[in-house]
Amino acid sequence: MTQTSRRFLPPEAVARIARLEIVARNVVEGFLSGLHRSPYLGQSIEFAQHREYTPGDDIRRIDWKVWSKTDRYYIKQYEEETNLRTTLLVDLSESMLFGSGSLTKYEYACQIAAALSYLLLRQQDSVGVTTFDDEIRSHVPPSSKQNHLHAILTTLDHDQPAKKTNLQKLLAQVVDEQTRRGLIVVISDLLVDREGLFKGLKLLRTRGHDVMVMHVMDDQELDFNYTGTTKFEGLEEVGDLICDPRSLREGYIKAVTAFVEDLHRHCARQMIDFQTIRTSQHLDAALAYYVTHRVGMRQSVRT
Amino acid sequence: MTAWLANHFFNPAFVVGGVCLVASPILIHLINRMRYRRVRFAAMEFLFQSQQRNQRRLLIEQLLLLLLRILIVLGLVLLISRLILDPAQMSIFRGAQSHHVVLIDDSLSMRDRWAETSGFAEAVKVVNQLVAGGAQQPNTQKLTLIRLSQPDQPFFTERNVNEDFVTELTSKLDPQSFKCTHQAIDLVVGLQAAKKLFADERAAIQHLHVISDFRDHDWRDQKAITTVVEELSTTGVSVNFVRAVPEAHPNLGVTDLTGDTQVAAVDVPLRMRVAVKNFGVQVANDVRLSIFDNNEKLPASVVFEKIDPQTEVTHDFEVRLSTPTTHKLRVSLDPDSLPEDNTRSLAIDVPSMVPVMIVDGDPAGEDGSYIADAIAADPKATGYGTTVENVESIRRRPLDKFSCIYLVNVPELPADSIDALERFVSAGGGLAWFVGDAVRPAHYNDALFRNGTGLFPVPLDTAPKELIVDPTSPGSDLITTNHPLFRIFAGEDNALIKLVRIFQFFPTAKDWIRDDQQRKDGVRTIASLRSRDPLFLEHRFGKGRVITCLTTASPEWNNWATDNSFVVVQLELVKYLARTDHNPERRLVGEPIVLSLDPAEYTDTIEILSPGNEGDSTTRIQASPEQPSDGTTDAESKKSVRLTAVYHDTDEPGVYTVRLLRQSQVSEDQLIAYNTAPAEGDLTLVTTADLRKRLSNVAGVTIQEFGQLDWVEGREAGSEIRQWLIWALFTLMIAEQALAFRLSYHPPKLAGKLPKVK
Repeated sequence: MTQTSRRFLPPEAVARIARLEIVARNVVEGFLSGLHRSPYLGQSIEFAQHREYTPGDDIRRIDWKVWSKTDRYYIKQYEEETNLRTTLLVDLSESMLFGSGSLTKYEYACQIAAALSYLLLRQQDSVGVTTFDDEIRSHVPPSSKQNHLHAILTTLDHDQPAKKTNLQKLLAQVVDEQTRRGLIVVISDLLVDREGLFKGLKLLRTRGHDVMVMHVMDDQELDFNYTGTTKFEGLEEVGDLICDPRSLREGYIKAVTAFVEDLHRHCARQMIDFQTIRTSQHLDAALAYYVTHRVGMRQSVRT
Repeated sequence: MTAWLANHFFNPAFVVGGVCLVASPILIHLINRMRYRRVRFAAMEFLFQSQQRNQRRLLIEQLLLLLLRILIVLGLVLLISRLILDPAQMSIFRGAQSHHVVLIDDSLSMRDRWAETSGFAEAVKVVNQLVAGGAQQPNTQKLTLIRLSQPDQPFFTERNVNEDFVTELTSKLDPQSFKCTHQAIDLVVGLQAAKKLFADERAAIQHLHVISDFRDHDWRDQKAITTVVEELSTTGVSVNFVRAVPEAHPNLGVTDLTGDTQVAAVDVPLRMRVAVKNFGVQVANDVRLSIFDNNEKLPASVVFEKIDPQTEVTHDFEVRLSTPTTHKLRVSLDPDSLPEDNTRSLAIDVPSMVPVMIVDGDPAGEDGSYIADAIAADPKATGYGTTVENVESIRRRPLDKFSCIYLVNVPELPADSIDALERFVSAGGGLAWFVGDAVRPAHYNDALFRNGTGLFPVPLDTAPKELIVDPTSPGSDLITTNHPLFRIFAGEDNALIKLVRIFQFFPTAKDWIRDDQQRKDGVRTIASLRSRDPLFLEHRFGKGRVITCLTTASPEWNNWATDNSFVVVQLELVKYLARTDHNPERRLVGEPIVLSLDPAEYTDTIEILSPGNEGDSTTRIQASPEQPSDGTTDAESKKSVRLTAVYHDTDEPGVYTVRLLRQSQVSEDQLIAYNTAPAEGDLTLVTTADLRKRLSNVAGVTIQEFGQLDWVEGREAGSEIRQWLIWALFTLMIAEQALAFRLSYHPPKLAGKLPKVK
């Protein structure tokens, strides 16, 4: 394992998540046969439905048992199973540089992206990574090759957060590029324009993508346990503030809670998996909880 | 500023440093604002939201917290530096240079004794401690000591208070030499003297310390005291009342000793009256009063079985004085807390006989003999020596030696006799008129009545008048008033008065107004006839009394002289008219003996024999010629010049003897009895609450309870504000802690728990 791999994919975490599977909640359009339901009906052992024969249909698919009973031609249709095409969107804005513990939010996001890539590649799904701030900084196209993980990790390691985020613009770009339905995983602190974010996510869902939002937040951002007079220097050039953080904590916690609840509510409305993850949480525990929870919510929705 | 600090803070040095400390919370706050750590933070959006939402509340809360902390520091500073709101509570010897005037009450009530000490001893102790306290800061304070008995002669005047003065004071205030008086002295006099002292000096801070026992009677209806204290306070003098007596002690006092001393005679029982008052709040039982004659205890004594609290009882007793000389009579109670008022003295000049002159207009002297028989039938029993004379003897004989003169049925009097009589009565002699058929009304009206200015009280009608007999009237002819002469007729349905029959009398002039109230000429009708015509009249002429009877002394116009009641009335009359100016004087201690002598009769050498515990002491003084008054020529002044002498040392109660030496080298003694003022025996104290009530409008007055000398050091100063400050600090600290807890962050027990997210 290379140094980059160790940084974003610690062996102990890999050992713990190795048994996990990522399953698409919706049908996805893949190239290969796999774990995931395809929007197309094809050759498979999974019976889907009967349909009245129309000229041009393959006569091999006529269900003769039905003809014998009804004297009408019906053909049998089978569900096609395909592989998952996943795109990981990792926020590379300056705000992701914040971290009160051993990891910054960006590092933690990279770990999540690496772990997900590992899982998806292991189950033969194709996975690609896009890092962004106010525009796409780097893009690794989806691939299901086993050595594709190295390319993803290298890209994550190469990038450094610097600028502001423009998630709406990014998501619009992703929609344009991703013509086939797949899984879009957004890993970000979501400290962006709220309205643009919601519009982007809605667009993704409109195009039939299965969307997962992994909201990465630092402990201090959620708990705000600062004491003593502190000068808070805003990342992403939002300004500074000198204050006694204890006196502002209550209002801050209220604002953060409202923010998270707003995100949660909106994502729930759009059938988007949303999860706030603390950077202090163990990666494996966070992913295991999330993936297990996701399997429980699986739906058979065919569009 | 420094003076202000010194006057309002016990430890003014701490105030300056303390004020700097007050700034410490602000400085700490500012330093905290300047010293901050930097944190690069992502979620500024929420921080700004919180800050924007809470900005005003935060500002107010922070300012409130800052204010609370400043107040706490300020409170601590005030507590340590000992704030005193009322500078009058400050130790009197702190602060700027001051002039302390100590007014020490040395009146009789300060002699109140208890537990081996007395009010005056305690007052002296206070003065000593006051000066000792002032000597701790030598030569910064001045002290003037005034005794209430000598307000114009300060004992010390503006003396620098230092160790030397403390030593001198100890010797000067020795109990043997610095004594309390026996006098009743008005506090106002002392306060006014102090006010005068302060008025002459404007520069220094002025303190007046009044050390007294504060008896209730001294303060009762004494607006003058309040007025002077108010004036003192207005001029910036801080008045400090210091109690020298802890509580009122039970006390009995002899408040009066009187008697018919004007008619005292050898071996004639002399009726005396003594009054004893219980000034305490408990009943006094078996109070025994001893009687002394010239310091020899008489066998008789007076016993009061019970005297109720605050009650005065009187008792009559008789003494028989057997020598024709001056007697010093004294009554005495057993000692109590104030023994000085347990004794009362009286000087009595006892002659062999009391001379009475009866001038009878009738050459036979029949009318006069009735009177002589009535008052001196047995001269040894009554003590009166009567001489019945004719009108001519008024001119010939010196009248001064007579106690009183009767003019009985005198037709008329020569002018010089009238002059002599007028001089006699003016000087204090008594005169009794009895009319008769010889009286010439015209002469009486013109020469004796003289339109109300003469010796005769009323104008007479032209002729006597008969009292019409009224057989239907059951009442008596004589109607008397409540007058000592007619004591025998007192009481309803007195049988004696009915025996007196009046047949004829001299009516007053018809235009004379009978109503005394309407007339207002000083003539009082003391007995009248049933026809409402006046019969007995009384008026004063100069210092003497004149009694006029408009009927005869003999049983010519009445039957009275044949009745027993006549004797009694005559004895009462002679007693009533007896001149009192020859009796030894009675005075209150402290009054000076002022002598004015005729150099033709007396030499300028005068000896005063003063009473004392160790016998009489003799003081010799020289009389000096008085200054000639303006407007008199040298010859006149030489002629009228008199020798004068004044003796002030009359504080000791008892009988003083003034021994004058005549030019003939014969000495002549005059006795003066000096007694204490009865009111001084009332040891009831005025309460502090009452004092404060009386002085409610006066600012800058403090009242120190007995035994509390903390005010000298100022230890108790500001104790009230200190208590208040402690409570305020306690409250402020609780408030500060509560506010700080509210404003500070306290992590929940489950640290790191995710915010509640749906």
